[in-house]
Amino acid sequence: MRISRDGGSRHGYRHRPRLAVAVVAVAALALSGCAGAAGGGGGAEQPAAPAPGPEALNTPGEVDLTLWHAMTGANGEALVGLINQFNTEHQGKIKVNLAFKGQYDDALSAYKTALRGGQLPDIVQVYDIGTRFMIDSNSAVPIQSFIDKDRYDTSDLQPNITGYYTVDKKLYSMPFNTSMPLLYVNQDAFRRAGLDPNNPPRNLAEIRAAAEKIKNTPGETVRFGFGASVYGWFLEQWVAGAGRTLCDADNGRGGRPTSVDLATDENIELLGWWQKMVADGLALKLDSNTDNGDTAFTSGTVAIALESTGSLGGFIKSAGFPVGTGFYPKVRPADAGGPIIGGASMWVVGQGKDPAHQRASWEVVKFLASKQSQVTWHTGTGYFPISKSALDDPADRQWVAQRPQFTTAVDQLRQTPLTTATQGCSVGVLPQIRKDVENALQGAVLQNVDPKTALTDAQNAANSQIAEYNKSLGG
Amino acid sequence: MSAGPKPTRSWAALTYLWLVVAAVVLLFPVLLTVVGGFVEPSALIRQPPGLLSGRYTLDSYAHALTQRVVPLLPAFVNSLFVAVVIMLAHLVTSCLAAYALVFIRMPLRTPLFWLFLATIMIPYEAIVVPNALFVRALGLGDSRLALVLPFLANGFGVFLMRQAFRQFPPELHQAALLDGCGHLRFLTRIVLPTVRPSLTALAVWSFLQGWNMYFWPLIISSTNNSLNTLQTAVFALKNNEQSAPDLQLAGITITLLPTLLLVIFGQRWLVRGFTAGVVK
Repeated sequence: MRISRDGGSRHGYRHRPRLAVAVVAVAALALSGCAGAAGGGGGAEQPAAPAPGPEALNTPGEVDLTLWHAMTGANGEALVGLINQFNTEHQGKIKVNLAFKGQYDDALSAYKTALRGGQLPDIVQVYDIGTRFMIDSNSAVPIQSFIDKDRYDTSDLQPNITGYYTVDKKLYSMPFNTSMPLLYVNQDAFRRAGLDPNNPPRNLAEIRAAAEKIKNTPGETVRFGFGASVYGWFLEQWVAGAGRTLCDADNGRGGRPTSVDLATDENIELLGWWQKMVADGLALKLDSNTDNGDTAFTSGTVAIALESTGSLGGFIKSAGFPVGTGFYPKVRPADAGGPIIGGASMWVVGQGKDPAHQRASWEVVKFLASKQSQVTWHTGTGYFPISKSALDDPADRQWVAQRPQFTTAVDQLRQTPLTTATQGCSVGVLPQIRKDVENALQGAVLQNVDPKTALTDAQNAANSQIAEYNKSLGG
Repeated sequence: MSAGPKPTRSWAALTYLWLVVAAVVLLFPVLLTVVGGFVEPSALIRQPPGLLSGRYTLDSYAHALTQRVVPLLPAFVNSLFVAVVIMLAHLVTSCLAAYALVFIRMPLRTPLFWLFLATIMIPYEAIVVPNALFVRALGLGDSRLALVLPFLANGFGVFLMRQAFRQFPPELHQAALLDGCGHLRFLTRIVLPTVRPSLTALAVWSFLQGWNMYFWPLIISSTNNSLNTLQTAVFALKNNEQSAPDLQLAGITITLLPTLLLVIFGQRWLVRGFTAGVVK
């Protein structure tokens, strides 16, 4: 048995030490080290083990939990508030300690380090694109096991949101902070140009037409019709909007993907369009840092922008003009897909945790997903509530009434068909693929590289990263 | 030919003009940071930023000090602890190691020094994980000691002090030894006072290294926020999906304070140290 095992996974074993060294330098390769650690720890038995029931909490004393998160600013404050409430309600039984771990990337790095011989948290907040890594690390208890054990009613959860965190028909983690991309418009600039501010452009051709009108408006101070950060996430949205899957194996929902499809007709058309917009003075050149894109919009430099729903509150607060919202645009009018949700979810860590801790973690996760918590969360942060009924709550309705722009997000989520395309790609190296995509976007939009060349280069880079990752898992 | 000893009046004017321009360019980011924290966000994102609007508020500073995600004051104390301990430790370990490398005759002295130099060549990122595993294995995972343990000695410090000690005349060393002066006494009484500029430079450098630490505290602490440093606290002021420049600038100004103080006082010491060296 030993011989066959060594022979069978030679590649994986050979490469592991070398990769383990590189781990630290490149987050990409950290995956291999972790997978090695988890695999070595006999992770295979964990998903099969049934989740502990409520009786696991019948222990004397308090269960102390650690929750690692990456929520900053107002979002962090809202999370602190919710956890304080939970601790008060469960005094003497469960106590949650929040530990802020920097940005999403840092939090995941800290988790990867802990996997290799440190103290793991009981609950960890991981961003959307870390989902596949978490599954492959075998260190978490899928939420689905608790749902099955408790016969927990999931009908209140937004299916389009849980869809993202569902792989192989199992819900792995509980979505927490959820956002979607939207199109934002400067309504004053639209009015001055004779455009309908309540009917924002829906596809590339319409954006261009609107941008031309804004540019040709005499005395217009908004200098560019369009300006979006060349951020990798946005391209994934255009792909899903075109109804295409980014990765093979049904976007990684039916197995581990082996390649990505970036040099598609729509993507080439999109980058070519963007290039021409810049060349014709209709679009502002922006880098990949969305902070700069936000400032370009709120300072009135660009009239049409792309951003997450999470930015709505800040836009309304700091923009000196009425802000309008529209559905995330499509490349072509006939495209039938829709955007992918983004954000982060809560994972219950199983590795090295006794049943009492696992169960207590599930209680926290359930609390955060409950209608009341989601109302607090949604109105406190502007993130999309994962609970359907939260949107019917009076406090929530009032919040939305004050920000009618948010209705666009609700409608957009409801109207997006749940397909493998709109579920988004589930691949372990998505953070790196996003960087590849950004290189292509920057090349095409900022340096005038031929769109097809830029996209093909990105696709090749991404495919070799996927191959490396899969090899490190011994597959 | 034109480089005469008496500069003309127009030359002086040009020099000052150039200095003023350079100062404005260099100081503007600092000004933006400090003033930005007092301005309302809407004024800040305007193009050009409305720094001189005349409407200033303390809200951002108050908010930065009271945020609960990573409480600022304990983080401030942690950062101060880290910076001061690392600074003192660097001074002690670097001086002792450099002393041995310069004043004590022993075989393989130079290769040993190369070994110290080699540690500077390894990027910090490459040893974060092994360091974390090691410190955790020592059972120090959540203690304050873990924040500084891997950083108490540094190859660059040894290099800096060795170069400084080598300027010291060996004859003096021999004379002191003949007079019955021990190694420690010789180091503290005779050598160190003459290398004050290098000591100050090392102290400032080490303090800043410790003060700016961000990733290590995140990696090494696991259970709660008690080990987080100021850099983490300032990062927590940023909102996930929108920028809050006023808050961030307020936070950055707070982190800048000790650094600025250090540079101001350190500069005085630096100058004094230089002149002391010149007179001798």
